[in-house]
Amino acid sequence: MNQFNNNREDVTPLLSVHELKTYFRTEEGGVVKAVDGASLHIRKKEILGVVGESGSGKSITAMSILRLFPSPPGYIAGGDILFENESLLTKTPKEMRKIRGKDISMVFQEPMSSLNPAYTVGYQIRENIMLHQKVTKKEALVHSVDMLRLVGIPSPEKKVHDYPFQMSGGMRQRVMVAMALSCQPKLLIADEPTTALDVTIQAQILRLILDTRDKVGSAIMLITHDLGVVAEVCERVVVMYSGKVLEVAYVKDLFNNPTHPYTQGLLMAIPRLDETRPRLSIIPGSIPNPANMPNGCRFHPRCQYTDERCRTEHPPLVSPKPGQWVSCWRVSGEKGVESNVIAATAATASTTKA
Amino acid sequence: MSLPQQPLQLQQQKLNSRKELLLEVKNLTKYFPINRGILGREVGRVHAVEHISFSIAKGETLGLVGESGCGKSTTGRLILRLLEPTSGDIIFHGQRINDLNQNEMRKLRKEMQIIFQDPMASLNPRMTVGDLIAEPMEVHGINKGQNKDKYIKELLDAVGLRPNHMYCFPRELSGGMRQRIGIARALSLKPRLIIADEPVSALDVSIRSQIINLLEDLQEEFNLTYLFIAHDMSVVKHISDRVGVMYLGKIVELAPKPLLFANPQHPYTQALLSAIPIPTPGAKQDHIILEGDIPNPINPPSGCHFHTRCRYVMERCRQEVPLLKEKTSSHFVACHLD
Repeated sequence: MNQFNNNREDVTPLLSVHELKTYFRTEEGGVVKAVDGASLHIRKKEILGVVGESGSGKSITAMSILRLFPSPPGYIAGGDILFENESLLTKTPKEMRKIRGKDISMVFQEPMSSLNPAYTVGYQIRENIMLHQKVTKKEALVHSVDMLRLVGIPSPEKKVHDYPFQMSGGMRQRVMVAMALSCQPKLLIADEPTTALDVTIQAQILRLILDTRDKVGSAIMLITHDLGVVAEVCERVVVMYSGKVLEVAYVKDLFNNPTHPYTQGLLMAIPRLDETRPRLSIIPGSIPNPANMPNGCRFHPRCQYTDERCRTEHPPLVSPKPGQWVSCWRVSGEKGVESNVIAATAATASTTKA
Repeated sequence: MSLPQQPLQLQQQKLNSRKELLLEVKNLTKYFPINRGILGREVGRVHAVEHISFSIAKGETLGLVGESGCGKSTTGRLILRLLEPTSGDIIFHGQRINDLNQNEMRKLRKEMQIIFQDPMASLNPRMTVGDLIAEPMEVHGINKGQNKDKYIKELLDAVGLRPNHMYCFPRELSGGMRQRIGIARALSLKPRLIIADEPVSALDVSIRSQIINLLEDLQEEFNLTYLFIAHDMSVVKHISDRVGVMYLGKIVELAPKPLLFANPQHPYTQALLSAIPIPTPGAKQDHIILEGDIPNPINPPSGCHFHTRCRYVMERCRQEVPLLKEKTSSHFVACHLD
């Protein structure tokens, strides 16, 4: 078990996603494998970054955890999601409703489309509180004001009666965070919470999310495509590509010593403020179409190290060193890693059972 | 409304001595009226762009950065006269273009083209790639007949697509490829100036660097001049020679890239640069976090527009509009601080 972390006492994951497969049926009778065997876990009070480009399955993984994806056409074709050692997949819709917004809550990218324009923000925060806690309207209102104060909204006693359209994008996102935190969730999933915001506002919201962890004690799963945000906020990172997890590592290790060719390519390809690059290196080709995935390793058409094995077989997620997991034949083919494959499988299995 | 002129002459003398100017913008202003009621009476104005001045030399890339609503895209559209300026001069290649009629303007647009942010929204979904690239040439009546297909294939090659992509529809292509078509369309008329309005913002990280490299290669190959509009500081830093920072319709700082990034002078530029997360864990702890939101451009703050969020605000800032002044050689700053 010390595979996961050596310096932490509490190693039982809060949430673990094991070989999750979320598929969508298309009208033409095909199947889009949006998430295809993704595994990840998140510990209590941890900030986990999930990075990936469009179509990597990062949002669908989050939606699968809360069962928010449209079904049909979507369905879970395999795998398991364990939250505090209980499978979320066997819960009834009624049980899921009790979890959503209470134990696990979510902040979405676009605050305007996730707030109801016809109700005041106070009403919308209160609604969540009264759904999960036995409190009176008055108590809920007081609690709503406290939440707005917590997320740094000026004069919350007044703003609680405002409608979403009366607020700026940054303020609305604060309201979303206030709502998500109102029942002190154990896990907060933030899906691109700052993508729609300006950089100066993004800095405010990121600081708020960090404070949240300290004040409320929630674990945070931060989904983003911005590697800068990950470096600044997260402790561990999961790199996804085309529905698969390609690399998991501590933030420092990932940035200093990226192992998967895709992670290496991404880090080389971004223009940076802190150094001057005469020319950007590129990852050739484009992101595969989810309806028509390449065989073998999903990244092989764009990878510079592709060989025969990559074209036919997807590499397993193995652990070359503690805390790091990589899905690449270059790693799993190396000497000494074979034994780790078994150890890794055992570790994942014991996590699942624990 | 009479605002003091900005010290353009100095800036221009400097540039003139070095390079030939392609574009000059002097005191460019755009107000959008807000009309209400049955009579459509004007009840207010959105101060989108206010008294901005800059110039671009031939072969240069000027980056224009700022947050949403700062007027950077409006500036790009004003230069092409896709929007009519409220006041100010636009001088392209020595010619003042404000008073040209529609016909003359259409001819001139051959020389100045624009690349838009969202390639899906700017390409007609019912036209093939070949037709899309040919359209600007048909409008201007060049490369007719047999030459056309050959030229389209050359263009496709220049932007890194295959000749048989000519027969595809936009929906069959990925986002990066669609942006390449947008670029090919802009190139087809052999323009001198390209206004790139957030050309890589809608693209994925692994595709972004491909398009940035392509824009750089094309600049060299066709001797292009770019006005590169973006909100992403790291992209602007990579591609630009000089950078202008906008806030609420004004240029607050304008400087050659190395000066601006090594020694930002305006408090807004400093905050903007420090707010950007850097992809190195533990790289920075000294964030300047701006309080509050960007003020409403309908009713911008008096004096310096930034005074409501500035950490060095003085009494003078609330009263007096700071001018864009040259603090050190070719480094222009609009701030009362010394």
